[in-house]
Amino acid sequence: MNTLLRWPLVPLGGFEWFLDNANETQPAWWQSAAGFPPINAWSDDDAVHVETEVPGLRLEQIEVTVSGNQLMLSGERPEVSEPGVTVHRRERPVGRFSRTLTLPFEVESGQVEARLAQGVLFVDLPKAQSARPRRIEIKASR
Amino acid sequence: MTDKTPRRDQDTGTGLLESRGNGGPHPARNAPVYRPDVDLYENDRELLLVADLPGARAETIDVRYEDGTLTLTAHVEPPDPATRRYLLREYGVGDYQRSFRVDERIDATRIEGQYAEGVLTLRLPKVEAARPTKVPIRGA
Repeated sequence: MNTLLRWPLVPLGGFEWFLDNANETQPAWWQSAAGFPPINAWSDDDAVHVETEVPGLRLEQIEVTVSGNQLMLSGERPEVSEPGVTVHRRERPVGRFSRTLTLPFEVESGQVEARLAQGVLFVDLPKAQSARPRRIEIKASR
Repeated sequence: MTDKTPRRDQDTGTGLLESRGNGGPHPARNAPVYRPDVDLYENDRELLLVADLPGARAETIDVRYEDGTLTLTAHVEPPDPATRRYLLREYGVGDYQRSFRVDERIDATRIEGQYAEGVLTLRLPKVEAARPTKVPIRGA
């Protein structure tokens, strides 16, 4: 069974992004080290952007929650089994999933937007004002 | 279940994808090509192939059946990573391709596909002769 992994990823200028997999549940045969669903995340000056592949899931089967600087993605892809059908191969993961990401920035939780297209979930999390780069005016002194 | 390597194997594109005039997948030389996860089912009437193709637009999906081999390709526009500061990068984004040997005799003219929410469902009807037929037994 998959071991729970906790690893610092891509430390950037002192920030470290930790995956907290404590809440993760995975189908019995899932053995990827990356966790399910797999997540890409990047930041720019204004926001943190998260994308994850959740094919086969409809809007009502996914839950996106932001709390403080934590983003939680959870949902379930139900297993479909019909009588009279022979299963030759089953690779597509099914079951409940739940992943929590600790974000390196505070975000404006009221302005988080999520959209689903072709089985990819995109979440845009605007940085809190205090977390955005602020240009410091340099005063000349004599 | 068999032990699986991480879901997204990455094969280097070898130009297997041919560009098609109707806007099909583009040649993917030196670009990563990903092998989609599939489920394969069979009932009396048909084979069923269900493939996860997250990120692919329906019009870029190409399905070919020839000489017992079914080939599935789809194009996904890769992001420009040069402009991104990644904090976490667990999967690659790129084209899909996978081929299957299909042993059953399939009526290729009646293959049907449906794509929704990043999942492609292909129905491959068996030719009439390949369907199990129930043999009536007459009592003596």
